This record gives sequence, C-alpha cells and structure tokens, in this order.
Amino acid sequence: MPARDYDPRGRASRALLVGVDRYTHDENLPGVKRNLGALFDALMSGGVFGAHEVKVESPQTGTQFLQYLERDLKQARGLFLLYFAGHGRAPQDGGDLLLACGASERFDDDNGPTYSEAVSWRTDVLPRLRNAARQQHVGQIVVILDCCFAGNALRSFGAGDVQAGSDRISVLTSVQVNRRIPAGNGSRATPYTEQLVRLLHNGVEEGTNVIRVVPLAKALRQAMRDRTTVEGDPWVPRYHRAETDHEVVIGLRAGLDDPLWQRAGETLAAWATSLRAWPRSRLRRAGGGSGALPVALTAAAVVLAAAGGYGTYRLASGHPPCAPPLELRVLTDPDVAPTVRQAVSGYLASSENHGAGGCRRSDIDVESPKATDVVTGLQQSLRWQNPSGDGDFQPQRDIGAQPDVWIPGSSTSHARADNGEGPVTLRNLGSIASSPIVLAVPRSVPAPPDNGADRHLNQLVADVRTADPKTVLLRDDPEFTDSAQLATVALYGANAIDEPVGDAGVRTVEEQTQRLSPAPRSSYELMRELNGARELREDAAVLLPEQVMAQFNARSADWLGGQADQLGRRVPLYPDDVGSLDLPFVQVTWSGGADPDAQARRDAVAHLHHWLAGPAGLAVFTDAGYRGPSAGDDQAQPADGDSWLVASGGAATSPGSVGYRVAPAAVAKVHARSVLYPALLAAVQRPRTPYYGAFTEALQSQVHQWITATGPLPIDTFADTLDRKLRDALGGR
Amino acid sequence: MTRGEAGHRISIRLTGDQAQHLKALRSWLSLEEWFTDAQAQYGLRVVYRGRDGREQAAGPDGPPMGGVVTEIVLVLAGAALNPVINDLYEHVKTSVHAFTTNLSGGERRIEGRVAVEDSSAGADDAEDATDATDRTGGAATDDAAGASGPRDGEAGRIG
Repeated sequence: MPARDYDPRGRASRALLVGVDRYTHDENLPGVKRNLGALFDALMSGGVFGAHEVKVESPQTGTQFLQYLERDLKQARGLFLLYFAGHGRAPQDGGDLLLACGASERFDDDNGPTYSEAVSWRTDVLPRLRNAARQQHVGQIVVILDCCFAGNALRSFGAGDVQAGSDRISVLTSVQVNRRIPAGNGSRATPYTEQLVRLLHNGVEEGTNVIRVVPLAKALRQAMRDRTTVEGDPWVPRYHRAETDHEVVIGLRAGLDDPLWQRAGETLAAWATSLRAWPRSRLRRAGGGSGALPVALTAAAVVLAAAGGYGTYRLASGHPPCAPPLELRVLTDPDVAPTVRQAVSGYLASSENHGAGGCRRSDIDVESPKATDVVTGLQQSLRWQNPSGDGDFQPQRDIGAQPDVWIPGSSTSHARADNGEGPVTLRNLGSIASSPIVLAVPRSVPAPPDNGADRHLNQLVADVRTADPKTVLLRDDPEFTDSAQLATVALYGANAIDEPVGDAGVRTVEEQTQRLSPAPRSSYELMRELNGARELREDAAVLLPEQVMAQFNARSADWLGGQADQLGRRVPLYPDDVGSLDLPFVQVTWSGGADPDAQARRDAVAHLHHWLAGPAGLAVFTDAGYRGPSAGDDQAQPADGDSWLVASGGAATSPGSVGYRVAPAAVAKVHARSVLYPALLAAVQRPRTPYYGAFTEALQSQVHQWITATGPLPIDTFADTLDRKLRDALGGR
Repeated sequence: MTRGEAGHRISIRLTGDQAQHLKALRSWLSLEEWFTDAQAQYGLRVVYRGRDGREQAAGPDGPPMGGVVTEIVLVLAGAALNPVINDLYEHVKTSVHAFTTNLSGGERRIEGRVAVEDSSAGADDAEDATDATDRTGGAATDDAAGASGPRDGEAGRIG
C-alpha cells in the first residue's frame, strides 16, 4: 500500500535555517551564505512555509544555536525543518556529529580533538527533536545537514537504537559517514545545497509537483553521483526516513503556488468577510456554536477541499501517456525570479499549457544568473551558440544553455543586449508588470524635509542623512540585478540629469554599501542578510524594488497582530531620476542551428507570453506587490482591486504620487494564508463539532465529483460549486 | 587466539606510537558501510595484535589491558577472493586516512599504515607483514594528516 502523504500546507510550520559562513578560528565558508538565500527563496515559494515561518540564523555559540532551536521547535505545529550548513566535526571515534558555530575552536589532548561552541547532534539536538515529537505537538520533523561528517548523525538511528519520538524524524545528510566534502569556491551555494535548491525548484517526481522527503533524498543521491568526497571516494548523500508510513511533503516544485490553493485563499477571505457581517443570531442558527466556529469550519473545509482537490486534479488529468513536453528555458533577473517562478508554476498547471488530451505543452526551467552576464552573453551570442572554450567569459559555462525567453528587470538591459549582431534575435513583447525603485527608509528615521520638486536620488539620500546622520545606504550587487544598476547610475550622477558625483562621491556610496560584504545578489538576499545584521538593521536605507519592500513590509505584518519585524517597517521615497523595473518579456530566437522543434518552441513561448500577459499572469505579479505593466513612460498604475498599492484618494498618476499602503484585499489574502488557515485547520481537527459532519459531507461530495470527472475541472467551476455547497450547509445563505 | 588462524588479513598501524587511538579507530571503521557489508558477506572480524605478534579479539570494550597493542587487524574468511581483498583494502585506506586526518591537528600528526598480508602467511612475524605488503604493491601509508588538499577543483570544505 502506498504511503499516505503528510502534507503540512495550512499548518503552522517552521523552518530554522542555520548557516555559519564565518568562523573566528576556522576557515570561512562563503558558499554557506549563498545557501541560505537560495534555500530561503526555495522554501518561501514551496507553499509550506510562510515568510514569518522561516528563520535564518548564524549562531556564534552553542547556546545561541540551541536557543534558536527551542524557540522555533516550540512554535511548530505542522512541519519543523531544521537545516544546517557549516563546519561539521566528528569526535575521534566518529560516534557523533558536532555542528560548529561561529566561535567554535578545536582543542587537542590525548583523547583526540574536542570543539568548543559546537552542538552535539547526539546529545544536544536529537533529544530536543525527539522530545518535541514525543509530545506530539509537532507534526513531522525533517533535518537536512550539509556539512562534513553529516552521515555520522545517522548512527543515532541504527538498528536497535530506536527510541520514542524518532518516528516522526527524517534526516537527510549531505554525505555518508566519516567523510568530508568540498564546500565549493564560494561563488555559488555549496554543492549539495545547490542541488537541493535545484530540486526544490524543479521537482523530483514525474507527474507531480509535490516534493516528498524520500524521493528528494534519492534524487539528491543521484545528483551527486559523479562527485567525490575530500577523501576521494564516491560522494553518497544518505537519509533516514521517519518510522511511520507517511511520506512527508516539504513543498511544491518551482515555487508552485497551486492555483487551487490560491483560489481557496480568495474564497476563504471572501467568506470570512461575509460571515463576519452576519448577525450573530443567524450564525447561531446556522452554526449552533460560537460565532467564530462556523467561519472556522467553512474556511477549514475550503482548505481541506483545496488540499484534496490537488491530488484529484492530478488523478483526473491522468490521460494516456503524453509525449515529453518541450523544455523551455527562461532567464530572469534575481530580484524578479521568485515571482516569475511562481507565475511560471501557475502557467505550467494552467489549461493554456495543456493541449489535446490534457498533455503539457512545455516544461520550463527558470534561472536567474547575474544580470550583467546575460546582457554580455546576448551581446556575444555567437560565442554562446558556439562555445570556444577560451576567454574569461564563456556564456555556456557561466550562464548555461541559451534561453528561449528573457525577462530582465528593465528594458534598459534589453536595449543594451540588442546590438543586432550574432545569431540571436531579441523581440520585446512588452512589459508584464512593473515596480518602481525606491529608497526604503526605516520608520524610525524622522521624515526628511520636503524639498518640493527635487526628488533626485542623491537629494533624497542627503535629506535622509540630514534627518538621521546614522543612516547607511545599502543596495545589492549591481552586477546581479537591474534595480541595483539603475540605482547606482543615479547615485553616481551618471544619468545625464545630475552632475557626476566624482570619485569622492562614489567612494562615499561604496563605503556604505560595502557594509554588507560580499554584496548580496538580490534585494531579497539583501533584506535577509540585513535581518541578521542587527547593528545595521535599524539604520539602513535600502535601494530596492518597491515590490520587494512591499513583500517584507507585509511579512512584518503589524496588521496581523503579530510581532512587528523591524526589517519590514520601511517607508518608500520615490526618486524621480531612477528608472522603474518594467519586466519586458523578451522572446529569444537563435538562427543558424537546426532545431526541429523551432516552430513548437515559438508556439510554446507564445502561449507562455499570452498567459503571463493575461489576467491570471498579472494576478500573480500584483499579488506579489507589483504594479501593472509599464506603458513605457514610467507611469505604471497599481492594478485595480487587489493591488498592494493604492493611491490615497483614487488612482495614482505616477509612482511618486502613490501613497504606499497595503490594500485591504491583499491584506485579506495574506491574512488568510498566514493566520486563518492554521487556526481553522486546527479547529476542524478538534473531535466532533456539531457541524463537522455537514462540512465533511459537502467536502466528500465535491471530492467525489472531482474523481469521477473525465477531465480536470476548471478552477472557477470548482470554486463555484464548493461555494454553493458550503452556503447550503450553512443555512441557505 | 594466535596468528595461526587462516584467513586474509589487512593490518592497520598508527605511526608515532599512537596505539591509544586504536579503540577509536575500531569504532570508526565499524561505522562504515563497507565494514558492515564485509561482516555480513565475508565474516569480517577485527582483532588487536600485540608487539609480540599475538592477536586477541577486539570487542566493543577496546584492547585488552595487559600487553601492548600495536595494530588492528581485519581478518577475512579464507574463501574471500583477491578482488574482494583489494576492494576492501582501498576502502580501509580511505577510511584510515579520514580517521588520521580528523585526529591530526595542532602539534599532532598521525599517519596510518595499511597493509595486506598473505592468507598463507599465518605464521609470519610482524616484520614480515611489511614484506607481505610490499608484495601487493607497497604499504599504503597515508600522507601526513591534513596534507591531502581539497579535490574536485574546489576550495575549502565544510567539515
């Protein structure tokens, strides 16, 4: 009998990502820093963890490590994910794994080495995990260890060593017992985590977007098969599976936010709103219990239906075998990548991407290399098409295979890349969304004086520093993102509007931005690193896309009644001399090669563009805090309705005139996702409320309909039917 | 037990009179997959060998308190074929190298010497063991601990 899925979506899950990249007494591990950003993004887009549910820490001491562990373990009700990357150490007999914190130091005596400020897997970490599992408040625990000697942790699960509470703990180790592994050169994530992140984005099992722990572990082993340990023997990642018959789901591939899930969220938000407006007497008649309960049950039913619907959607779409879908390759800007991945995931599951017989037209790989590398690669497209194997820059090696679609941050990049030379043709099909670049200033900084018309970036920076001289200016690496490039041009006064600031001015800028070093590779990474840099966090004014700021402001979520996160509490200033991100959809075609799929490829790109430019695609972007497509004049408007950004007093006429605040509909969605789902799911899981039966009946009926359907039901039909049934169940309203 | 018992032998000696670490080495080796596989398939056993050439079973409690133990010896059933021995020898070398590298640090530099001994040489004395190794192409003596640089063309390691 196949194992049942343990699917934590909708539960209060927690992920603690521990990464130690700097060591006082040992070699630094710059790749680990990359790991944290990449894994954070992958988990964030996997659908299991909300933004506030993923914590990233770099403990200096063992005490700190265990404090973080206890803090997050205590809060987890669904999945608890513990990830560690850093130096792993082994005692001389190999009987334990020691996870070294930043201040860890080795001492030697006759009994072999010991390590200060390192936590023991066997005596510190595992007992805490087992205790939590034994007390049953946490659903499942997954541990991922990317360090030397990681396999030594598995000794704790040896035959005859089974202990209470180990039945919910799965462990993935980067390497087999007693072996050390290379950490990479620091320009990318460490080799194991790089593969982990790739698999989280791309998925591991044919025919499903769900990522389960054991298939993931097997895929990791396969991915590392050609590599060797430091000792020179084959590098073999290992795993221990929790001793239950559950397959633990840790996310959906490629940042997939299941459209059903999204739809359920919207239905839920609407329902919660409408039910709150009901008179309490009516609620009692309909619900019989407290006013909150019917809402809870309704919403939980929606949640459950969405979760159940996912599987049945797949089931129902199980037509005869399809030919392998065409592989499309999309390159995009690192700042834009999380949302593009989410949108592409939506597209992959959409009817637009399914042809006759329900077969998928295309599969899509989204990559986000350095923005400047892509421009250079396209300028030198002949080298990209015909790798020469020499020279510092080799597009095939440094970027990868040639793209079919390029979504840079800014059409400025497209203009630079399009030099009309070589075998490539770049066709800009238009902006798919936009976001102005803002100077995001902590709320604690006094409002700078209003200088009237002069809103040049350098003037804004000067104003802020006048208001609070401690303010430090930060931006990410301009080689990586268009937003940092556009901002840097304005900072240097190199945009033909201002006077150039000269060498001293450039130095002043760079001295500040280098306070985070190495430079973050995206605005998301910058904000995440800023979170760990407590001495900077309160004083940093950050140059980044408005959308990224909106994301972090939403995560801070004052309005959810949660703990306010200083990181996100920033207000935007809108410079008028910095271009916006306008996300042009650029079709990339290559002449000269004999591609038998050329026409199919063009068709697949056209379908992707049609979907992204349509309402479903736009909704993904506006839900993520983007504005609508740019008309090419930097006057992009917030989208109607659900946009995060609303103008005070009506439609905005320019980015600068938009009063930044979060729109109520956007609030409702985030609210539903991060607070209502877990609470309501918990409510419906309580034993036998009077209405449990009614709701489960409606639910089962709906699921039955799904299973017997001859093809995938349109999402709208699903939502409408469910909505009607739930209303009937609630008393005819 | 004496060395008269038949079977292929792979001996491991830690240089620099580091016999106090042999118990840890035994534990270290027993964690390895090749070790448990060889136990199951070829009846692999571990014995401690003293300076006088006498061998005693190596239980989980470590070397016997009397006498001076100088080597760990892995003993395989006589039926094991040469390819098996050679394969095992490579595994042992790698594992011992990992062990000595982990143990070395600061002022301490420990090396391991791994040698295959002929199954028919049951009556050989300890010195002959080295000769037997030479016959197989030389004793596998680990590099000085820590001198083994990163492979795979990548800088640094995370362990």
